[in-house]
Amino acid sequence: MAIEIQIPKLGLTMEEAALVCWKFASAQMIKKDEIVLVIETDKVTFEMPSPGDGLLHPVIPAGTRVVVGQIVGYLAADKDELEKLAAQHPAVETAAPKEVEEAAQATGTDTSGAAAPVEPQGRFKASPVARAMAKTHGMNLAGIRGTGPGGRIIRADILKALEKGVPVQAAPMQSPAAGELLSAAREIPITGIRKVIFKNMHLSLSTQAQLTLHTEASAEALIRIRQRISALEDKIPYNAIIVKIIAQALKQHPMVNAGVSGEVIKIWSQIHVGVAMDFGKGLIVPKVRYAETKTIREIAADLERLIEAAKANRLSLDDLTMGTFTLTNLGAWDIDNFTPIVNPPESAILGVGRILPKPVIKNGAVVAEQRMALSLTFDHRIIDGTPGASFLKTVKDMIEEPSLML
Amino acid sequence: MTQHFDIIVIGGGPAGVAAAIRGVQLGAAVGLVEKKHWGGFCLNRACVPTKLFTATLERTKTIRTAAKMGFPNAAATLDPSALFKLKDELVGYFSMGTQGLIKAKKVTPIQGLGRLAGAGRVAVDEKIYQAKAIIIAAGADWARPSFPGSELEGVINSSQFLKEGRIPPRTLILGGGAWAVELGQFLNACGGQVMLAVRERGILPHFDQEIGQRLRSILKSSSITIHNSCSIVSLVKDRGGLKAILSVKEKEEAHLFDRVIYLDRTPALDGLGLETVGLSDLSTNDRLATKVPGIWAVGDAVGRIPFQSHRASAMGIIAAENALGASISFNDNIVPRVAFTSPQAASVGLTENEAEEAGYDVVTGAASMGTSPMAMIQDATNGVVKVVGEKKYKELLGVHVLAPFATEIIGAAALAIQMEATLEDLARSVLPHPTISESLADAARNALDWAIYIP
Repeated sequence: MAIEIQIPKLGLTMEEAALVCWKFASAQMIKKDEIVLVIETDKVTFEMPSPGDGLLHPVIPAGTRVVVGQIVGYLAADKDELEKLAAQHPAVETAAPKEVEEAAQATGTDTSGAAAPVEPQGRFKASPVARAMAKTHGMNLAGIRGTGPGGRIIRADILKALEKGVPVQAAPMQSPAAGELLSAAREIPITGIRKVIFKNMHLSLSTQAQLTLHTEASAEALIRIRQRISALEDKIPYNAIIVKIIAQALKQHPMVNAGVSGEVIKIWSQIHVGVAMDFGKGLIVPKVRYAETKTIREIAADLERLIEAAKANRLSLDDLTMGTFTLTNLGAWDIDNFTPIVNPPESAILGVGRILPKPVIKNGAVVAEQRMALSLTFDHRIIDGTPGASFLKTVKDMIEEPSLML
Repeated sequence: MTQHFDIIVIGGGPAGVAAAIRGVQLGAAVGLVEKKHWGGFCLNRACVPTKLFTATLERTKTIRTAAKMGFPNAAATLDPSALFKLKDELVGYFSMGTQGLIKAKKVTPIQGLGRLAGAGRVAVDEKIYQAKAIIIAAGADWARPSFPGSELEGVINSSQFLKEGRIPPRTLILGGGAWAVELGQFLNACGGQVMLAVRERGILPHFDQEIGQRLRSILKSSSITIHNSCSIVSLVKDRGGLKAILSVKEKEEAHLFDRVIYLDRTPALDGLGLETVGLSDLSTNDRLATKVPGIWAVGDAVGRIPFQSHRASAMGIIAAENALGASISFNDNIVPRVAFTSPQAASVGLTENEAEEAGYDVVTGAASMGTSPMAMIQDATNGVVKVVGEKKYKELLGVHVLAPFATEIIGAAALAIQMEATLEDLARSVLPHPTISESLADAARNALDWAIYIP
């Protein structure tokens, strides 16, 4: 009896996905748990392990939209069974162009030749030296009048343009000569996580009225409490403590733990704090669920699991959806203050900078103190300046005096 | 009744003929004034006849080396009278050809001495013509040198030499330019003794220094004597000839000659009537306009040295276009210089020194004729093909050739310079083998540090 390959339900809300590619060719032998295909929802890219051993008989081609539970292929026990399957359901070609490209990317082969952009429309008559000069100075030939034979752009024309200070083209994409000045070494399709980021970032800034407040907190207490907890058992990350602080602060400022839904503002009863991560596959924000009910160590354990899953590309949709607030920590990259962008449908995000010693004045004397920058962006449509600032003050106070969390 | 033209061109030499034809092509009514020799100095008394002589020089060389190629009985005894007769025939033929061309192109020829007669007016002998634009292409006149004895009968210019139709046994040539060396080599090949008295420190002053130096060392191995940093102290009649006292590197020496030939020429401005329009000279802007609107000047009359027929005609074309409303700059840098010496020298663009002076970050590359198969076949392995470029944009700035057929090969380089080619363009040109021209590509590769055939 042939084994069915079905589209799995990766999260509570998942209904459909795109079948990105098949990892094996038709009639190839596959072992259980080898990656047989890749699907992509608007939240995750999922490499699906094979449900069993057998000869692959794909029936749905790559690039098709599929629904949860749909049978996209079979695994035949032997050649006879494969032939029977073929008679019932014709096999499809597995080497979709996308797969070829991905394979090429994996092996570092350049496929840009195949995927090259269309030829630039315009042609410019210009001398080789004029072209070399334009290239060196990042100039676009489109704006330059040629005075050479037959209107050819010559050396003197470029010199004249340089004297006049012709600006380097900020947006050469729009000009027909762009192909001569810019050529893609590699083209990355905007799909999967990148598409989600595209949509969300644009949605965020196009729908919300975002305001960022900056402040700085003493990190001395935060460092001490992390050392103390870490000394007891495994080391915990700062983010675990900060998530806890956020959860406690949100309890005091419920307006910040809210979202816009149609014509109403919904203040959520749960606190699900997303933590922004990037392991080279694009920005993802898995959630620490019910952060307000968890201890710092439980939050640390959640984070560890989410990081492992993210690295292995195994985050489920449930891990990624339905957050109420986001923490983004760029301290590891020596960033201090920045302007985080809210992750819709949430309404606020806290950016945390690096911890570093700075001179501060205490009792009239300059002393060194570990400090960290805090940046809060919120949707000014629903959170006024004062409540926003007040929330940030609470966070700052708790960082400086963690006992306030109690 | 006064005749009206859109353009009147004064001078029927290379510059004037090209200007007149171009004017008619653009729809203008053009009158072309020439006092005597249609085709000008080039055709009648310079380039064309003297190139017959360089061809003769090449022929004598061929005959002398014929034995090596299996012709044991070839005789190189020149009968100058036959050569001068052929010269007259050729010149007559070409001059007629020019007149035919002018007619065919619907240019109105006006025979006579043309001169300006106030704004927009040209007088030819006693007749007055009117024109919207006047292009002066009056050429140059001989400039007799001034030293004690320079007025003596035996001191002649090359036109007079051509007219005499004889090979002087002992000749002193004044100058070391292309023409002087060409003439010297010809007279030498015809059995005459030749000395060049050169004011400058080298020869071929308008060429890259390396070309001049190499040609000088080639000439040293012939029986031609070259004195650099040399001037004539005095010249007197002596024993049926001319005794010259020369100052050579500040030391005086005496020599006997039959003829002293001078080659200097100067813009022919006398009698042009410049004063009638308020001009004192024919200096022009880059569009070849003089200081007086409606008056343009081209060719040798403008005074750019070395005087060359192809520069003159290129100027003529542009002046006619500008006179009819265009605004085109004349680019002197794309004009090749040629010397029909043996081996030939040819050059276009900037010399290495000029490029340095212009502030370029200069790079050069050379391909020696010592490794060129065609140069070996031609028995002329002491030449070179040299390119001058700059590092920033890899622009090709100049090409300099001393080799057989150099005057032909330079055409490709002139195109490259005109089109503003890069060293890479020249390096990537596929040139036929075996030829001298293939060295152009390898010299460019050499400048880019990847010469293929240079050991």
